Amino acid sequence: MRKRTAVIAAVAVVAVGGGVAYAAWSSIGSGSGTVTSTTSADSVITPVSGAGLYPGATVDVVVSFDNPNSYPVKVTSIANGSSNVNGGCAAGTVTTTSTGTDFTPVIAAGGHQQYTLKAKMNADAAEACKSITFTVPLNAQLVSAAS
Amino acid sequence: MRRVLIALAGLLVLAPMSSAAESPAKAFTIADVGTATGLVPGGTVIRKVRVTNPGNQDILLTRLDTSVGRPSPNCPANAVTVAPLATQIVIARNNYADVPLTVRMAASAPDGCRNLTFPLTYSGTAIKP
Repeated sequence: MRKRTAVIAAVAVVAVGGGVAYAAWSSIGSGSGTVTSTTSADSVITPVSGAGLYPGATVDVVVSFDNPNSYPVKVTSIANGSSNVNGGCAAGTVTTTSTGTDFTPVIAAGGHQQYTLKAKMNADAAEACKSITFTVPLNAQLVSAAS
Repeated sequence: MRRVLIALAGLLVLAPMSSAAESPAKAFTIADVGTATGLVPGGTVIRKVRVTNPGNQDILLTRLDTSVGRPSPNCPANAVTVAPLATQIVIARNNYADVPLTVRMAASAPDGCRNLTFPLTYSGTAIKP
């Protein structure tokens, strides 16, 4: 009976003592800091190739997108384009459309990438539209492709 | 005999409490190391922080959380998140440790999140190793 009491008392001491030490040694810390997002630069679209238009015809036009940013980007849409007036050739004689929504691959940081559009000349294009170069303003949406 | 054992147990229980009161754990500090820039949608950057232990005992850093402030109403509150401490780390007494935290900007972050400085508030917990 005496031996049993001694064992129970010893176990109780170890358990209670350990709990107190753990709680007393916990500590907390705090502080403040910052992180900064970057800004974005617009891409520039330049023509690469596209020729052979005649009234009613559709041809491929290749354009190149650059990426002046320090992170990869991807094109999510390219709006339909319409040609500017050129002498006696009316505005809108040539229109461009994108070939879909799959603008891959992404454009690497500081890189460039080519995409193909469709350009169509109106069937009733004027004689003044012969052998001229059309300027078609293009607008596109690009987003970060960082991961 | 039983009375002696109970008295001895009482003394042993009191001993750790007395020792802890003499050496309370000091609060540690958390501060930026250098700058963390270049955060873009879908991307991550490393925010290195320095955890300084001013106490005379080693500590085990078990938790380090970060809350992100909202520097612009045009940038959602959840646009930027900071991952919690990945691995517990021992910081020696009167010493410090640099801890890398991963900061992520959501891929859906709008233009309103460009070129902003996000305030960070750190909080952590440590125990005796």
